[in-house]
Amino acid sequence: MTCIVNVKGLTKSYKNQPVLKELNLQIEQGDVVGLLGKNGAGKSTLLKSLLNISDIDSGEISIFGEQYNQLSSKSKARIGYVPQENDEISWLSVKDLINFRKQFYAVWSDEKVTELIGRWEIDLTKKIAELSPGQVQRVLIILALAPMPELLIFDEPAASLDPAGRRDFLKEILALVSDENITVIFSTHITSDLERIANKVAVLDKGQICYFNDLDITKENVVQLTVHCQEEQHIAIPHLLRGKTFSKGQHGIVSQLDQAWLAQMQEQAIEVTVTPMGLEDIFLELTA
Amino acid sequence: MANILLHGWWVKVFVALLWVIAIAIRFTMHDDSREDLLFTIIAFSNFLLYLMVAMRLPLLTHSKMAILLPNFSQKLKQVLLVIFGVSLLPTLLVLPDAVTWLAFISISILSTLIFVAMIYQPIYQIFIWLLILMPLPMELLDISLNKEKLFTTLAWLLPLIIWFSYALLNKLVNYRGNQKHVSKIIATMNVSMGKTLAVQENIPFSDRTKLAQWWANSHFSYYRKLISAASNTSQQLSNRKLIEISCQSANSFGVNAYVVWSVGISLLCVLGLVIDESYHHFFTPMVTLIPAMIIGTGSITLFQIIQCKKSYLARLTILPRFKQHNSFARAFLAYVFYNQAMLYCFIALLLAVTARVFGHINLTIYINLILILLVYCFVTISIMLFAWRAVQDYGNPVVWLMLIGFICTIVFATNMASSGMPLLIFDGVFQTLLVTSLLLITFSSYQYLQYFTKR
Repeated sequence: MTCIVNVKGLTKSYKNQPVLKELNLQIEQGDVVGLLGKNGAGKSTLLKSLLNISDIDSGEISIFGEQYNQLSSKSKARIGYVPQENDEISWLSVKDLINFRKQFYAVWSDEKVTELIGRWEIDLTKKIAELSPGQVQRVLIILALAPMPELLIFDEPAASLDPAGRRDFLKEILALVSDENITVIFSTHITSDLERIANKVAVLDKGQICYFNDLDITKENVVQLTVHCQEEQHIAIPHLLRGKTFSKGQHGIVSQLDQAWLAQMQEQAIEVTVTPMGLEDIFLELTA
Repeated sequence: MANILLHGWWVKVFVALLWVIAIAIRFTMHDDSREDLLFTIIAFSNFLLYLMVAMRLPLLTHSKMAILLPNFSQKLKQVLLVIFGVSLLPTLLVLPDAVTWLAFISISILSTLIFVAMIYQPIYQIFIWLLILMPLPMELLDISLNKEKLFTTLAWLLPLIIWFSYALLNKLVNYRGNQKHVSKIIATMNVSMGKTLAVQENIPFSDRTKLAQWWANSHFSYYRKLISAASNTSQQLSNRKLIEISCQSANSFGVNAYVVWSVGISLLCVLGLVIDESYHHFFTPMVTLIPAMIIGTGSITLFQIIQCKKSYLARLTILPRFKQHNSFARAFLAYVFYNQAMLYCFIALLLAVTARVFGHINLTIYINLILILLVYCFVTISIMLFAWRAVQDYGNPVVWLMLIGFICTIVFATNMASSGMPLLIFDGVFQTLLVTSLLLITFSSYQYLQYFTKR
């Protein structure tokens, strides 16, 4: 697999307050990565840093094998980005904004633009300032998808969308990612969205990617364990994130389910119940 | 891109009109008598165009997407060069005088550099003041520079200027610095004329410059003291004061502004008293410009701030203390009249002091100026009251009207001062104008009171 985004030792601080600390991340072609993190964890900062929108203090970032701050026009044309906050020129009409952006790209799908404009009922003659936040978000998504990019970066893409708009947007992304060449990175708070489209999950906490794995493996591995003993005894649970003892047993949440340890428990006739967890609970446990 | 940089019909039409006038002058000009007028029109139209483009540039250079758009810098550079090239077309009218033409190109490039520098780095606004005061040091240093000499120098300097400006252009299309200041410009350029000042209220306090933070803090401190003084003495603030406090913003023309302008003018007057009287005429542009700037900012700021606080003021009207018939409208009118009276009294005082020191206007012109300003004041207050009580948002046309009226007033005042017009109060046309403006302000105040009675 080709590495599309490679981040090594990324450090960034705002007013002497560290936001990202020696952060490492590798994203491969075809990955659909959901970036989870609490408010203020640095998700937007990370995405902006990847694209050189925000300056970094130190570290190395490469996109499509090129240094992030010296991307060629060819590479830039392969990137689609939807920012969290809209900074488009507010007095431009939707049509003018689309035409303005179109002139920069050699490849531009008018069909996709027409289809999405129609489906999302966006008035082309309206000025950006006259649109609701949800409609602006939709326009930004259209602008990001129109040049048929190979790397899509969304910063909280569904934050301003209503449920129908969110569903439609996710459907669009699902259709896109069926093409194996497309890589998507998106930050979100809505874990259900992530579960629907992502194949990998990255959790950003305390300035670092504290967890990065396949979504399915995550769901299999991060589980709640209940250990039932015959008498009061303390059992060491591997990869324990958080544990609680009760009479003749223990509850615990592990970041990785150790099969060898499970077999060992069975041999010792200690009953261990494994309960799968939802992604929201997993996220809360990982960042607790 | 060109559409964004040249957005808006008013300025484009005005520039085109000036070009047409320049062409008409050129083809009806049989001697050198109107040469200066032709040069002035060409230069003025181009300066307007460059200023418009310079103000819109940050919308492109500092947009988040700029860094991600393929070939953005090259495309922007191309567009800027095309616009500049088109702007040089009217300068062809000065041909066959090749030296003047080359000098015009140099002036155009230099003015573009200054405008762009001023927009991105406010410190460069000093260039304008330096240009205004330039004749003084030249006179003191006994440097005589006539038009021919200046034009020849500029023509010869053209290759150097082109080389330098091209290097700066390459930097500009990739420039992303001074984000805090540029974000203010972008915020201003992203709204219509009616909200240019009000939109700056949304800039987070921490993102403002230290000077702006101090300015806002000391401005609000005055009102904080008023509130605490009133609560300590258990003496209620008057309705007018309460409305005045509610109408304050970081951009208000308040006590701070009066103090700073007074100190500035005092220093200028001290300088005027110290130096020889023969140099006083060099200060005329500055002492004329300052009152104009104060009136412009003082009245337009008041309008925009109140326009943006309409819904907040509407909530104030339901307070129990305003339950008496028309008490809110009366207090509000009192505040507006008091505010504008203070502003115009300050201007009258400032004009009197500067006239006494620099002797650029005599008593007749002074009285005439005050009368003209009085009419302007009555008309603007009437327009403002009309817009404040209107359901529709008339912010944009009102600011344009005030600006146009203001420019017309300045032009008329300047013309009146140079032509040595007699006392205007005895002029029938002016008397009609004064009475009309008085009737207008009375009518709009009455309408404003009626508006609250009907509610």
